[in-house]
Amino acid sequence: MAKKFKEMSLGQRVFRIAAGFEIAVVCLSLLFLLTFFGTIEQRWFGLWTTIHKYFDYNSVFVLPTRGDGKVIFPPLPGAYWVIVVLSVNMFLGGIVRARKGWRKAGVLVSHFAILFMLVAGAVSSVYKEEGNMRVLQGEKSDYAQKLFKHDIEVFAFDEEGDREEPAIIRSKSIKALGKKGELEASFEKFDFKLEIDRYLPYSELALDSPTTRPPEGEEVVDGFFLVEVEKDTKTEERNMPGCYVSIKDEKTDDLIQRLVLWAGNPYPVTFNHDGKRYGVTYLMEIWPMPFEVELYKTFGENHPGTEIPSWFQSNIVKVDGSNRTDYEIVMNEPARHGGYTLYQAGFTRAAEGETPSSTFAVVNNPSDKWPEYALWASAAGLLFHFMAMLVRFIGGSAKKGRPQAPVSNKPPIYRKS
Amino acid sequence: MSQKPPPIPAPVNQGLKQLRWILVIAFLIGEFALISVALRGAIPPDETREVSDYSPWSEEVLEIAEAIPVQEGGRIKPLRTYARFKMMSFHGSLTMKVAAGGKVHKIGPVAWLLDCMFRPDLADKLPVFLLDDTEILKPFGIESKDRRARLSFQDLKEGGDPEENGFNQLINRGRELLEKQSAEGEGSLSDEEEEVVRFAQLALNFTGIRDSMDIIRGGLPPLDPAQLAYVDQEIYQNLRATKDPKQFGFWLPILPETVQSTQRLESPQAREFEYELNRQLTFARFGPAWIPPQKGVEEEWETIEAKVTKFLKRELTDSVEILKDFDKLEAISKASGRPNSEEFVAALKDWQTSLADRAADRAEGDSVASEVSYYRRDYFSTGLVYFILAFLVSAVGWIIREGRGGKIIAWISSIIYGVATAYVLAGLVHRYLITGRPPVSNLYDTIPFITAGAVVILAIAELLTRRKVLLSLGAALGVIGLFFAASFEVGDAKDNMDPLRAVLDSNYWLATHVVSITIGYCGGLVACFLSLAYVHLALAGVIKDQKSFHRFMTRTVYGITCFTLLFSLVGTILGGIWANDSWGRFWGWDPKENGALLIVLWCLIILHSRLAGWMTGWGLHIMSILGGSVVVFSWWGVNMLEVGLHSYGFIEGASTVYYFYFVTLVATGVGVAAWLIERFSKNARVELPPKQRAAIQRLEDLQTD
Repeated sequence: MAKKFKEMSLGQRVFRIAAGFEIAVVCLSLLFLLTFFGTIEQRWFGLWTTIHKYFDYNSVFVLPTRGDGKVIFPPLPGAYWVIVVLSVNMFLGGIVRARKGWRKAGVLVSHFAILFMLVAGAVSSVYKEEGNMRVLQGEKSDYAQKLFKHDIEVFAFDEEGDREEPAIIRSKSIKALGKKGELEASFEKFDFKLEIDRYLPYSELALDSPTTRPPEGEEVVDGFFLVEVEKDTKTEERNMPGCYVSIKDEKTDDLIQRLVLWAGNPYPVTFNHDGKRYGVTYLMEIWPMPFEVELYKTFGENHPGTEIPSWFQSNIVKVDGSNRTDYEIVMNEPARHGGYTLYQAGFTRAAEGETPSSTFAVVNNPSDKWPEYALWASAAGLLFHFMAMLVRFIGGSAKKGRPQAPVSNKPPIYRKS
Repeated sequence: MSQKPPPIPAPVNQGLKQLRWILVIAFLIGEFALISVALRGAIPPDETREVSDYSPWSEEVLEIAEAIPVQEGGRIKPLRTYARFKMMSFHGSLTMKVAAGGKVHKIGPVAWLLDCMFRPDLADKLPVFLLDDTEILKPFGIESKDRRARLSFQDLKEGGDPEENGFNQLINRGRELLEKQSAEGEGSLSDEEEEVVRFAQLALNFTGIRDSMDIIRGGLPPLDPAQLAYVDQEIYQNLRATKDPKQFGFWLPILPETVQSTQRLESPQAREFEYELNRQLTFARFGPAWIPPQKGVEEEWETIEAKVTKFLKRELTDSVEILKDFDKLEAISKASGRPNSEEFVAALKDWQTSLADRAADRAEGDSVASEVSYYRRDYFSTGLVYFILAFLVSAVGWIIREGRGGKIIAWISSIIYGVATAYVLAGLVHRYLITGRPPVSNLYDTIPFITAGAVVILAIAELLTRRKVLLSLGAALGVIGLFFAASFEVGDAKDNMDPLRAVLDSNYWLATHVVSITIGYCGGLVACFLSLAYVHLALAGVIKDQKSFHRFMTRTVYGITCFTLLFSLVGTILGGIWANDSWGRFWGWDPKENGALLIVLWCLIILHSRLAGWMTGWGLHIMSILGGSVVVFSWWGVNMLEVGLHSYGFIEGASTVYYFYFVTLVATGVGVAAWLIERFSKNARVELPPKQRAAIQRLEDLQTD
């Protein structure tokens, strides 16, 4: 017979609470509220901002607000941590503490499957990498670009005007600067250094002209200056960082060139030093692939008389060393190879004389298929359990016709007058 | 021989009984007030307009016309469908009533479209525009006696002042407001101004449809053939011998040369000809795309304007085909002066047959005939009528429950319920056959699907439990669901059979993820509705064996909650897997994904709260009622946020959803009141010795088991 709570040891009490339905209900209720507010806030603040506010691991508490900033609900714990507590509770209560046997087998399997899915989510959040790869028809690419990370690359041009191997300053270091921080980067291969002295996380590049004059005190470099703008909360990829940098001699600290870099500019900013030409870009982080993708053909169609795409397809060849593998990528049917998955994210039809292209979303996610396995397990578990309940329910209803026991003729209920 | 237990006397407490009824009436007034406000917009004003010279089209004409294939929304569909959604967008209904010669004629979409195209003067007099607030037209001198009314185009033209008619004033104001909006950005217009813009656009669209056949009706100004330098005079004279130069068909064979010639002329005649040709071509753009593509040159069906433009640019290799098409259209137009004459019928039939044959040659329009039959059968409206009937008969069954009479009524209501359900299911199957995809691919589709699911679930539950309650509730749900489907379709005025965009066009995912999620919605709404009905009955205290009924309803709602959880969870995870295959991520906290998750969480809260001992039967019913709001938020609410990757499902102005939230809140109040009254009644029991109390408990259990 199960012990009463008062008779339990401290450890047993802690286990009883941690594995209890009470914590499950509280966590589920909190998660419900967080999901609800995290959904309606997207109307005002967009998907990206709201997700970070509610579901990031560094959100310990969140305050639901309206678009005008007015608080609409008391503070709630961050969803990430609620899910962690719920997972622990599910493991202890739904698996360790739960009664084992055929009657509970379905519930056990379902709990296990949901836990497995949460683990898949955790693995994905830590190890998943994603980027976009744009390839022109008939050409190859061996890298993707990460949409929300911008690196500074410094490189020299060789005699034929081609880029040499670049030195890279990672986006993490640049982002850490904030608006007032400064960063000095030296490179082994160059005799100059790069100093970032003003970083604007959300900016636009403007040309100094009679119609667009810089604000008072704003620095103008080669006729250009940066304008700080409000963060676009709804479309994160529209947010472009920019910065002012100085290229200085490593030994003498003399200024070689003052530059303004902006992540929306696809071309390198160049300077000369010691008779050699150098370039600096501030672009989405390059993510090298362990294979090449050759776009053999891209094609698509719209429904007749509309601009609604009916289908689009890319025929690619994946070149991995000496292995060449053909793939057809269409909507909802990505190509999976060596842990990488390529999805058709878009295609551009070329005007006359231009080359069409395809954009692929590239994802490397070790837990890619885990949710699918969890789905089948949880569905089977719940189906088994609920079918058993239904059988009992029908059995219970069938009892209605049983002969009933004789009873007393006394009036059974007394009420106060 | 088993002894029948004595009946438990009902509590006699007059004060409590009165309180119950006061509360029931108060809550019902609140709920019906909310429902009637919500329905106000869904029921169009019933009005018969006097149009003395109106003569209806014959059934034969309508049958031929409705089967004409046209291209719209990315597919080949019957003219009936094209007309249906055009008429809905203007009229807010599918029937227009006019009185002529002492008779009232009901004009349907095809008849109305034929009027617009071939009898524009009559079309101007028809009450085509539904306006919720006619006050917005007062500044343009357009008056109406009712605030919500139907207006004809003639009403708009008769407004205004001697200098400028009401229609022109409206269009000019609409244009000004659009310029203002473009300069000052979104949100710069007031609600009234936005309504003016919307209505001006609607009126302009009407003139587009009405004048789209001007080019066929003819009326091009004369040109002096001697001045047409590029036109072969011999050809001109040959044409002159067979055709009227006022007709477009006369000019079409020599149109490129004629335009080339007029461009070099400076005569007012030439300018007038060009102006009129451009005007007619501009309006021809608003007509249906019903000229089939030329073999080997084109891929899509075109409007008259697009075809003529291509002809002018000499992009068509075969000019014979287009000339034949225009001859056919002119023959219809010419005969339309005698609308139901043999000549008109023959010309219309010739056009319909020609288009149908050419569509068949291209392996297009296979489902045109089937679609015509789908709309003719009107499955969902017929189903609605049968559900109303089933509800009424089963309501009689509440009074006559016992004996032979009770049995007969139960049988009749079951049969009618079965017929109604069969109609809804047949409608869904027919939609599937036409579109070739599961009938859950857009918001409209999900309404009859959920209705069908709900009535089937309740029928199965009735078969399992045989309480004679669930069938009545199922019939009521059928009425609500099908009425909602009809009013949403009219308000939305979009053809929901049009093809899907590439990302959605996957029968595998539609049949698994979307069907699972939709069945989950269905379960949640059934549970909500059962609890809603239960708390009202319980508060009124009209149930004889209250405890037994309470247990039965609680078990049923609990079972359906489990059902909801199963389908919502599976559907949500399937959605994640689909997203992973389409967008490269399993979960993105997108509103539509979150909506599905909210239902799963709600069900889990209910199930775990019961296991924790925090939720009794009353708690379950109250949570189940609120769960209805969670389902509606997931089904409709998230689409109104207009954010996220599921942009194809965005909707505007579905304010009825808010009324549903309010109704569930009020119904929650009913549940709380019923629960409090029950507690109060229990507390009123006299303390009895334990043995006697146990005996009473046993007696109650036996009575109710």
